[in-house]
Amino acid sequence: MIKLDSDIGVKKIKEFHAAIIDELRSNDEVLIDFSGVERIDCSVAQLIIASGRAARAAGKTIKLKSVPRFVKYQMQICGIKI
Amino acid sequence: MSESAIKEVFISEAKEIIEKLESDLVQLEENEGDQEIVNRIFRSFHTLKGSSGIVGLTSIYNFSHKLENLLDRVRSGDIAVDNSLIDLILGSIDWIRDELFTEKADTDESKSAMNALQQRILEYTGEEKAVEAGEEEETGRAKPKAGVYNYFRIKARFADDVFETGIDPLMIIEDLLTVGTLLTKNVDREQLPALDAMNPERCYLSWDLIIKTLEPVDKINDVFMFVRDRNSITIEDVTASFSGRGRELPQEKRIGEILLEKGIISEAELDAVLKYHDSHKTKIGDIIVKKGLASEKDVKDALEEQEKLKKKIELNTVRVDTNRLDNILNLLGEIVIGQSSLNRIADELDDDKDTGFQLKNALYGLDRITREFQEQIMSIRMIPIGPSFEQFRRFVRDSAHERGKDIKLVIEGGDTELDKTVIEKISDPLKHMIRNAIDHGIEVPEEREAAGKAAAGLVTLRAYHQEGNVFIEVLDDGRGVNLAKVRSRAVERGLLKEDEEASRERLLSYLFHPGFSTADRVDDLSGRGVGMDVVKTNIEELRGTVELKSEEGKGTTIRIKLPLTLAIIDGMLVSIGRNIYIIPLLSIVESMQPKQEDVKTVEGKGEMISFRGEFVSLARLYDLFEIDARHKNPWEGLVIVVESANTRIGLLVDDLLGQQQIVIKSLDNYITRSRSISGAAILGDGKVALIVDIHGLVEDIMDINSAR
Repeated sequence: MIKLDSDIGVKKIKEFHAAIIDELRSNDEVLIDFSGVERIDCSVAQLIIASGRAARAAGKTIKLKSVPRFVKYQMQICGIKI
Repeated sequence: MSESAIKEVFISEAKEIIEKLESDLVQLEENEGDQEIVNRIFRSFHTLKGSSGIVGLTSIYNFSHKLENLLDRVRSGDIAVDNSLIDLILGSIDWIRDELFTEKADTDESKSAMNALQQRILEYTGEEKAVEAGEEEETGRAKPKAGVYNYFRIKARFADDVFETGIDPLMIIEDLLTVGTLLTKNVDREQLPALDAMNPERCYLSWDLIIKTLEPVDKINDVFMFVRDRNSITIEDVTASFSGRGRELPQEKRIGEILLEKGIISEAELDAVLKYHDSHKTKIGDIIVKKGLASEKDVKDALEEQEKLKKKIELNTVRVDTNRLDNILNLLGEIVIGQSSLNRIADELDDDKDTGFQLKNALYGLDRITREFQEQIMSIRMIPIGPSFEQFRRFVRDSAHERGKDIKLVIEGGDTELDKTVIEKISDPLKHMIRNAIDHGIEVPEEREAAGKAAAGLVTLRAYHQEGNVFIEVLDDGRGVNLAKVRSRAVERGLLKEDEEASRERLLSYLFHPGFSTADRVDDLSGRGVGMDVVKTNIEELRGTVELKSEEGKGTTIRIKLPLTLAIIDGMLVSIGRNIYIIPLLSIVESMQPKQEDVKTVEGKGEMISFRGEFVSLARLYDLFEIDARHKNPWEGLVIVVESANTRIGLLVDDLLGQQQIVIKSLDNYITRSRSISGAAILGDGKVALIVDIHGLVEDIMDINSAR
C-alpha cells in the first residue's frame, strides 16, 4: 500500500512515481491511500491515469482508498472515473 | 513572465483585494441585507482563491476556498450576517494578510490560528457541506439560472514544463468551472506516455471543454490571465451553436437579466417578456415598462448598469510598477532642464536673424508639448483616494468597538484623484486624525443621547478639488474642542500669559504645538491634540497646510490642503548676490520696490514694509541664508510679497530672473535642516538653485519675530 502525504503534489511526484512502479512490480494489487489528502494537482492525476493503464496492461489492479470528495471531484475533472 | 514576477503581481493584487474586502465587510455589517455587497465579497474571495492557487500558495487557496463556501451560503441566505460572522471573516482576512505579508507565514502559530479559524468556519458550514459546495461547482451550477447564457469552448494545452512555473493546470480548470457549468469535457490523455517512460514532473494532459455561463468572455480570460503567454489556450464563443436565440440582441436580453438579478421582475415575467419580444420585436425595456413590470427609472438604471458593464469589459488596463513612472518623470525632468539650456542659448541669439527667431519658435512648440507630456504622466500617477479612505472602515469599526462607541465612517469624494505618492504619504496622518476623532471627539452613546445627539457618532472623510489643490477633510460630530481647557493647558506650558487675550484661532493653533502632544498629557482635553504636531509636519512635508475648526458640543473639522503633484512646480527665479533661489509661483502675491519711507522697524516685530495699506514683516533672505547680496536696502532691491496660511511677508531679493517650470530634486535630510528650503533644481546652465519653502520660511520668520 502506498500512503500518500497530505501535501502530495509535483514536489513529491518523483517519489510517488517510483513507489508505484515498485509496488506494481511486486504486487498484483496496489492500494493507494488518500486519507488526509485535501487536494491533488495535475501531476498526481496523470500519474494515477498512467498507473491504471500500466496495471491493466499487466493484468493487475490499482485501488484508491479513502479518497475525499473534493479529490474525487478533481479526478473527475481529469477524466478519472471513480 | 517569471514565477517571481507572477507572484509580485499576485501580492500587489492581493493587497488591493484585502483592503476592498475589509471595507466591504464593514459596510455589510452596517447593511446586513445588501446582496450586492455579499456578492462583491464572494467575488473577492473567489479571485483571491484563484490567484493564490496560480502562484502555488495552496494554504491560502484552501483557506479562501472555505471562506468562499461560507460566503456562498451567506449569499444563498442559509447563513445570516451578524457581528460574529463579520468578526470571523475579518479575522480570516487578518490571517491571510499575515500569511502574505509577514514573517508569521507558515509558522506553527500561523497554522494553529488557521485551524482555529477553519474550525469556526466549519461551525457555520459543516465539513461535509463544505465539500459538497466544492462539488456544486460542477453539479449544482447545472441548474439553469434565468437569463441569457453564453457558451464557450475552451481548449487548454499546457506546456510540458508548466509545473516548473508553479502553475497547476488542474487548479486552472477548477477555477474555470467556478465561472460556469461544464457541458462537455474531453480530457486528452494521448500524450501521456507509459508509466515507466513518463517523466512525472512534465505535464501531459490537455482539456477541451464547453461551458455554459452567464458571465462575459472576460471572466474566462481572467482565469487564464497568468498562463496564456506560455501555454496554448483558445477560447471560442460558441453561443450561436447552443442558443436558439443566439446573441443578435444581447443588449436587450441583458437588461432583462439585470432586472431579474435585482429582483424587480421574476423569471416567469422575464420569460413572458422574451416570448413577446420574439414575436413583436419590440425593445425589452419598452415591453417591461409597458407591462408595468418595472418603472421607467428601473429600466434606465438597468441600461446604465449595462453600459458600465460594457465599459468594464472593454477596459484595457495595464499594471505598471510606479518606479517606472517615476523614472519616466525623472527623464522628463531632464528634458525640461535641457529645454531650459536651449532657451538660454536662444535668448542669447539675435532675434533679427532667422536662426534665433526660428529656434525660439521651435522651443515654444516644444515647451507646449513638454507641458502636455508632463500632464499626461502626472495623470497616470493620479489615482482616486477612495480605496485609501475605504481602508479606514475597519480601523474605525475595530477602534470604536474597543472603546464601547458606535461610530459610522462616511466617505465623500472618493473619486477625487491625487498623486499616488501623496496618497501614500497622507495615510498615516489621516489615521492619526481619525484615531483622535474616535478617542477624543466622538462621545460614548449615553453621553451623545444625553446631549440630544444620535447614539451613533459620525466620522466623515471628504475629498475634493478646489483652485488647483486637493482638500481632504476629517470631520466628526463629537464634543468638539474645549477651548477653556486648551487655554489653561497653554498657560500651564508657558505658551500664553495668564491674562493674555487669545483668539479662538490662536487657541486652536496650540493643538499643533509639539508640547501639546506629549504622553504626559493623556487627559480629557476634549477633542484634539495627540500627535497633531506630527500630522502637521507630515502634511507640510507634502507642501500642504492643515487647519482645524471646532465648535464645542458639535464637532471638529480638520482640513488639509495639498498640491496636486509633488514633482514639478512653476517657480520664480530670483537672484541674491551670486546665488539663485526659486520661489513657488503659487505663493507669490506681488513683487514691488518699496519707497524708503515705507520701511519701518516696529518694536517686537522687527522690520516691516507697507504693502497695500498693511504692514508685513520683511525678511532679508541674504541674512537668513548667510550669503552676500548686491542690495541691502529694500528700496534698492526688490521685495517679493508671499503668503502662507493667511500670513504675508516680504522677501528682499536682488532681482527677478524669470519664471519657469521646476523639476524638484529632493535633498538629503542633513542638507535640509532648514525649514526654509524644500529642495533643489538644476537650471538650464547646469547651476543648482535652492527652492524656498514659503511655509517653513514664514514660520521661521514668525519664530524670530516672536523671540524679539
